[in-house]
Amino acid sequence: MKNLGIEQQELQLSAWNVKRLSIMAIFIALSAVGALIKIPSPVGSIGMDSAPGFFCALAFGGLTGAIVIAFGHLLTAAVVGFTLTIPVHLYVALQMALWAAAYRWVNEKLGLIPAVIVGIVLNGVVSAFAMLPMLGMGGVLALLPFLVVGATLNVIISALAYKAIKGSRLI
Amino acid sequence: METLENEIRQVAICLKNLSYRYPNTVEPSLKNISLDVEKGKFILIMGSTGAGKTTLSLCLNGLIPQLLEGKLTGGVRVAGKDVGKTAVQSLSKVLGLVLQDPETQIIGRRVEEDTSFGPRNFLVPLEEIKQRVNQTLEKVRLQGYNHRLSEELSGGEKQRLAIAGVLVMEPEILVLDEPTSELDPAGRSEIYATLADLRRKKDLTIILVEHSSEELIYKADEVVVLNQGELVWRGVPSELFRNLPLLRQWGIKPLPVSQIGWYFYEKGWITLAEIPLDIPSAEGLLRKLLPKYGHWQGHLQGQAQRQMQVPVPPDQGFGSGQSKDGLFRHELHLSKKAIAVQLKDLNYQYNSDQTALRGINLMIEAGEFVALIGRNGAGKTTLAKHFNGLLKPTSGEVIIEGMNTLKYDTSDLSKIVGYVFQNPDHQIFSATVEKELEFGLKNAGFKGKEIKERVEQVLWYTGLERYRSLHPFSLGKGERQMIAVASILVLKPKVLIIDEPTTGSDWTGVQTMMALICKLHTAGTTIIMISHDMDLVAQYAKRVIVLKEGGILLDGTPKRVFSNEQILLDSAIVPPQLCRLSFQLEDILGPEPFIEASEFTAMFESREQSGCL
Amino acid sequence: MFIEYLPGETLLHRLDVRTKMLGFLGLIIISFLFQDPKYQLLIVSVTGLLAFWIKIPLQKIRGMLIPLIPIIISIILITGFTFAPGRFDYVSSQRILFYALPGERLGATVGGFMMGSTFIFRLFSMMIASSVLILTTSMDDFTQFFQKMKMPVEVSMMLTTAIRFIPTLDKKRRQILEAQRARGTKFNEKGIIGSIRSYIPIMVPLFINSIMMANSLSMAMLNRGYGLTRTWTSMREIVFAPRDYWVMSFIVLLITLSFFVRFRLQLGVL
Ligand SMILES: Nc1ncnc2c1ncn2[C@@H]1O[C@H](COP(=O)(O)OP(=O)(O)OP(=O)(O)O)[C@@H](O)[C@H]1O
Ligand SMILES: Nc1ncnc2c1ncn2[C@@H]1O[C@H](COP(=O)(O)OP(=O)(O)OP(=O)(O)O)[C@@H](O)[C@H]1O
Ligand SMILES: [Mg+2]
Ligand SMILES: [Mg+2]
Repeated sequence: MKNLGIEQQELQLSAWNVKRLSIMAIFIALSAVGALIKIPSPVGSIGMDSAPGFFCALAFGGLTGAIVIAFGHLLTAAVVGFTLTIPVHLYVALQMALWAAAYRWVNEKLGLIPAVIVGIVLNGVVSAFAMLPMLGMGGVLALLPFLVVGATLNVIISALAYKAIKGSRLI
Repeated sequence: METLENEIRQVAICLKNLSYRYPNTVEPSLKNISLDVEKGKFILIMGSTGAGKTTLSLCLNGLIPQLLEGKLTGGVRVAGKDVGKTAVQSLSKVLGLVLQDPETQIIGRRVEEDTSFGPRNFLVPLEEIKQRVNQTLEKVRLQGYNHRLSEELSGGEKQRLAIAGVLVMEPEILVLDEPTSELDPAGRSEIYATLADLRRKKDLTIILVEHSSEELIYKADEVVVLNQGELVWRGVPSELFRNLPLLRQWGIKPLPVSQIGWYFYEKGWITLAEIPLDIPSAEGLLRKLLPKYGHWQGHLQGQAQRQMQVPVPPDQGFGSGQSKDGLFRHELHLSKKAIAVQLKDLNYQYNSDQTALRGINLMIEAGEFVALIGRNGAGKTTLAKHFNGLLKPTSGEVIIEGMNTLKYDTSDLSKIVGYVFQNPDHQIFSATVEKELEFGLKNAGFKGKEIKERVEQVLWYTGLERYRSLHPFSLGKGERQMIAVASILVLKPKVLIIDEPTTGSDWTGVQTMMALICKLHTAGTTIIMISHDMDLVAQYAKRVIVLKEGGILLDGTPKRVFSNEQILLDSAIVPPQLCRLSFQLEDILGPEPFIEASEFTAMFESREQSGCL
Repeated sequence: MFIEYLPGETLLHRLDVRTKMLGFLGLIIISFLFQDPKYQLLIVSVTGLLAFWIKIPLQKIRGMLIPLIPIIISIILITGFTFAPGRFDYVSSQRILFYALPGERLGATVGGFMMGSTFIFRLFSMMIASSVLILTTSMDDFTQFFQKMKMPVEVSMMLTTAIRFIPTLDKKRRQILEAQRARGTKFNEKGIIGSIRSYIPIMVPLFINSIMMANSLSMAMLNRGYGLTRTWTSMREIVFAPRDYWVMSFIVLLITLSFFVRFRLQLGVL
């Protein structure tokens, strides 16, 4: 249904593309807002900033999810003033994009529960070790519990929300 | 050749056998619609919820089928262009569509930025954009707002900004989908006045989807009625609004004065064409008929009679409830005067140092039916949020059923005070209707059997039984509103607060909702209702509180309150039509206004019981 | 929220967005050149002066700093313990203060703590500088900057729209929270399962409302001609003024000077 073959030469963005764009824009904004939702946990409060991206990956496709999660991370970081400096945030955003795409892919191939496990491992454990060059082993170990709990909450909530919304005609 | 072209130009919209079915649905939402709209006309589209009004307007500018997929057959031509073959974006130069919710239509952060969004996409030169933006803002009465943040506009201003955003592209046809649903009466008239203005000055063709009708009857040239996706009626508004059975059949709200007229018509005293549609003609008719058929004993006696009428105690009619109604019956109020809500010197300030409530003293007894009214931003919602502790007073005290809200958490108060918010979509999250209702009970700590029983009862009570295992978001907005109410009712609150429960509902939906609220009221629940629909307030509430700029302006029975026409007007409230009619007939009826059609017709027959009870 | 323009008439407001971006980049470079907290303190003071100049509301700074306190403490501690003495050039920095674990393991070095302070100061100057940048630059300027940097228009449209909708979605978040609180949802349940259970009623409506919002937003954008062409009329073509050239030369000079100090004079390392 893309473009309907109407006035191809005049039209640059089809209706379908505009829809994708607005979904991405809104969910990127939601990531920034999600960061304000603080869920208490044993390792400190966790923001809901990656749940929107993971949800998008399941609901609207891997690419959409990857874009949302990456820009969502950057925007969230910008709102608090790039706490870890811009290059590090770019690095993290890129990782998140990969994880979101992987999450979607596993969900398609193996189902939701394996996808959740993979999502938590990637976003919790692998992401922590990815900081090794910057923080050293000590930093990684300090970061690990925080990231694992954060990933668990965000990934599980995105999966449950997807299950709850799938039955309606919204997605 | 030229005449042919002229002919095409005269027809603004031409629909031929249009049918449309949404993806993943069985029933088509539009069935075989054929309609021609001449240039420069003002057309009103009416019909119950789910009739297909929004769907039709989306077909007009090509969003269906270009954005929403599904099965479309038939032809749509707008200003001579085939909608199926023209991109939505190009069509927007010819046909401007203003959607239901203004919030999401405002794309820019500032007023000017938003208004210029359209022309910028068309690469209009900057100088011209500036000029057009200013002109358009003036047209919708937002001149000087250029640099205001769109987020900080009031509801009515947002609505007008949404219209400006479309108007600035200078379309020939303007389609508006319920542009006034959340506005106070004065705000609504202002939008209509703006539209009438535009039409006069710019020769716009206007298509307006709207539920309420009182002010539009003489503005619109034609009404088109949709019912379950079919075009069932089209013609001049006055003809439709005199035909009450038809209106009822299609779920459209009749005009209050026409209800009186219909009574006379049924009696055979007047012809169909004589049924009044506005206040002056109703006044004339009553003056003419009263001496002939009225049993009215002259106003002195009548007045005396009415003053002796004691307000009906809320618990009257208690015994008549059916067996299942017992659910909402609380322990019989032994002390009749139990106090449900008490406010002492309540002041409230939002963080932004803006005083939203000032010096409110108020007492509401158990079992009362109170309506809170006032203009947009008067503080109604702010006040209501104090009743369940969502907001805590900046100074002063709020005591609900003996509990001071400062000392209790909202989750504790939720067992006593039920709060139904305006937008049901803020609270629905479960995958089935049944689970949604169970949620509140689980929070309150109820267990298996009790939960099942209560859910069962409420499903029955609200008529949601047949949807119990469906996904709430596969239902219409009216049903979702009902689910939101039901999810509060399972908690058996003693006090029920409903914030604009009927916005965007059709007449049938309003009736169902109000019947439910009445049932609860009869069973002893204290009701606090916020509404902009004065007809509803007059008909159902026993006490009306008018808020203005965070303070109480008036407080009393509907009749008392609505008789202060001037004071109310300052507060953007227009008394209900029948009230205004009785002001006109003050010399006959006395100073206290009538608020129901049955009160007028009662002058022509022996007394009859009416109202909520 | 930080993403809001603070109206004003200072030089910083009037500078071209590209000049400011260059300045920001310069600041990052300079700040990463030096490891010595004294130099970082100097940078923080400079950015602080800039912030003072544009009259940043003090409350903002406080609101920005308080949530960071735990991070600050943990960064200082972690770097204090994890930077092995061998990583420092100066003997004074290699000195070990004490050991966290018996058997001379996990030693806290002076340099480690100084490095920790550097991280903190660097973080501060970054935060202050980005707020200054964001507060003095209008959205339209940023959009133009993205365009000038040859970023696809869709991306800059997506980002500006996202920013525009943050307050709207935040309002939704508050409304949903209120609606669920009014139904008796408790937010203090224990454990991860409890947390998930109490936040699902917030997140699901938030997603649902976002999808509905996105649907009507796409309609509104199409209705107003978005996507017809890949460009649009710029509201204000950004142009360099003489002051921009002056400021840019100054920035370049400053960067060169820093390189000189760091690599020729070998100052500012630990
Ligand atoms: N996106 C959709 N997918 C499937 N069905 C839909 C969709 N939108 C609307 N419908 C269905 O199409 C029918 C017509 O809906 P429409 O929104 O046009 O009604 P309406 O007359 O505008 O009602 P309202 O007064 O409530 O706005 C309804 O039965 C509705 O359930
Ligand atoms: N969260 C908030 N922060 C700051 N000010 C607010 C907030 N909510 C409402 N206000 C302001 O408080 C005043 C009262 O608002 P309130 O929502 O109570 O009005 P209302 O009578 O319910 O209006 P409406 O009929 O439009 O619903 C308004 O001036 C409004 O702008
Ligand atoms: Mg509609
Ligand atoms: Mg309100």
